[in-house]
Amino acid sequence: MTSSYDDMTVDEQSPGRELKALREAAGFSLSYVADQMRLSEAYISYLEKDEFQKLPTEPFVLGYYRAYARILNVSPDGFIQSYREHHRSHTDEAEAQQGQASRDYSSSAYRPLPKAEKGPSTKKSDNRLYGIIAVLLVATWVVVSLLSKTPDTPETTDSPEANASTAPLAVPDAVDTSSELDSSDDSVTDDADTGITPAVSDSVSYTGSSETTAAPDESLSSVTDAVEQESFAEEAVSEPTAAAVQSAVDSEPAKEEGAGTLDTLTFVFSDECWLEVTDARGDVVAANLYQSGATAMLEGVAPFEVMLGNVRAAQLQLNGEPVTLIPNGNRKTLRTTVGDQGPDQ
Amino acid sequence: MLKRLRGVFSNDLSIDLGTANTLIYVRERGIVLDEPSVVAIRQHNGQKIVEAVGVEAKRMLGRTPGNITAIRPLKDGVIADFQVTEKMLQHFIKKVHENSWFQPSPRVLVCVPCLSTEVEKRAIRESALGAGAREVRLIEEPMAAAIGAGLRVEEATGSMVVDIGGGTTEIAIISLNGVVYSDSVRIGGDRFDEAIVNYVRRNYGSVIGDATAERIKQEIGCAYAGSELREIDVRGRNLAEGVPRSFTLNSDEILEALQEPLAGIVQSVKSALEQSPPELASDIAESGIVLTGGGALLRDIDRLLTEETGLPVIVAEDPLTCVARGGGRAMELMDSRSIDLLSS
Repeated sequence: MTSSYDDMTVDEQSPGRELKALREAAGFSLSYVADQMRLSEAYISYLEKDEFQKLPTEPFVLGYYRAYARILNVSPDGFIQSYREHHRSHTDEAEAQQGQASRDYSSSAYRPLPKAEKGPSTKKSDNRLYGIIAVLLVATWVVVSLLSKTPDTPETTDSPEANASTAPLAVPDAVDTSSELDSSDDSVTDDADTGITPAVSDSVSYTGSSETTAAPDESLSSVTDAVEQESFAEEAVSEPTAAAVQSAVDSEPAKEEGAGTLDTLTFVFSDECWLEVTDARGDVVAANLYQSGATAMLEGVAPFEVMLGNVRAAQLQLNGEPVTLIPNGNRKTLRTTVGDQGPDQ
Repeated sequence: MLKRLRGVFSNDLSIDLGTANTLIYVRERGIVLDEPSVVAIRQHNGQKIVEAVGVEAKRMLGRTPGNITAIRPLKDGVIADFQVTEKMLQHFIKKVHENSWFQPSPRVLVCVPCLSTEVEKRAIRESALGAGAREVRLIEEPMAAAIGAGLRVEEATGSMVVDIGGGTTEIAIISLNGVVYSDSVRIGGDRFDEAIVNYVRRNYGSVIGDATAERIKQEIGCAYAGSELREIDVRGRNLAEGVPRSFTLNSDEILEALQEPLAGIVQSVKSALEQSPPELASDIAESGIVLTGGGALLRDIDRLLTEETGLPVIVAEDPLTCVARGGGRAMELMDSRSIDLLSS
């Protein structure tokens, strides 16, 4: 390798050539420099040939440049600057060849600062973004929970209606089995009767649970009527079933509503008393102060939420049946539910 | 729970809690704080109030009236005054998070001297927690220094780091993410200052303050006999006359003054080399010893060690911030690869 000042000007970016030129100009031998720096001659020649891959990591190389520059009695800044430029262009090339797949432990950790810091910065901003999202979520949850508190009471009072809407589900099943029996057998009437029995029992068990005493008979008769009529007509199997279901569906809510309007509460007051009654639909049936001797006739859907200001001054009848009001200890006021499990409270 | 929420809005910090200076490195922002570990405390009605911390407090050092005391809460690399350290950390952590709405609650990695006892480690951890950190990790200073200097600590190659701090000098041989040998001597920048003060008193009959001694060390101090001669004018109180006097010191005199602490460092480096396993010793002989810490800025200290050990000695880039930067990178490594870099 013949290097001189001319070579140096051709490739100014090579710190090694510059070092060698300066060393030769000063008349130092390679072994002298190596001895002064306490390094092997091989290392010095690698340094002069810019073979950085054979040298230790960057901090050592920079240290060697400083020591070499001190021996040559020049400033090391120029070498370090040109090494950095040289090294950067080399590492960029190497990266382009290797691609990002080879980002190993050392390269990610010990690359020059701007690149090493790319990863964590996005990570941190992600972290902050998650934080803001979390706070927003919490805020929305709080707002939603606050808003949902107000329509809370109507929802619970609506539940009997919800029950009523599920009522037809039980009945069609029963009717289906009966209609299957119809189509399979010729002796229609007898089998229809036997087939209906489970259906009736099902519907009774349901209506019983919905606390309407008048309901079972009506629904029972409507269901049996529908099935009997259709089976006598001897039509296609699907049609009577549908019709029976339809009639059953129709009859159920009608019966529920009819039963609801039937409930009557009668209060007779022997003294001044505050009365507040809310029925199952959430309607406030009464909220008033009643004088001594007054009578209050209230209609609504059972069960009723009753609040009395002077429990000992009131007598109560539900659908004509007397209901005993038991005072809560020595308290004058009473908050109770009437018609919850029948009028026998 | 609240600490964790606040932590989302805090940065991860790497703190080099040094005897002389405290440095804080924040991810993606670099070194954000470099202040002297000094706290000025005012006594008011029997209560202690923090008057100033950091640069401001250091300016007060040696110039305080009776009711203010400027304290350096760390001595020889470890906590000497627990409460004051906590206050100081609290102040620094707050300062780093100046533009945050929330009270900061960062994850913190603190660098500790390698031979610190469990009690000393616990004191550091407790004071960081008391200062508002939500999680505290500790790392040995030479390890952080090696990472900060850019050495390949994960490779099966021995590297030797000499970290000359304010209170201690840490010497370690590192290989495969672990410390093979470590030693800590209580000689550092403070001992250099002390030696200069003593020299001036002995030879010039004058008393100078620590701050002046530090300035002398930084401007003309050197560690090697063949260095360029420099001079400085200083003023001190003459002991015989009792009045301030001006005199000139040169770098050879400072070299003479520093002989004792420098010999201590050289001796411990030599004994570290003696103790190192032969394979690692050959690695070190090939590539060299790396100097970090503020002491590495002492002129020609690398030449002194080269002469004394016969090995190449290099000074790391930006040696003052090596430990803090290395701590920051160690934290990233621990997060991304769950490597346990001697943290506990």
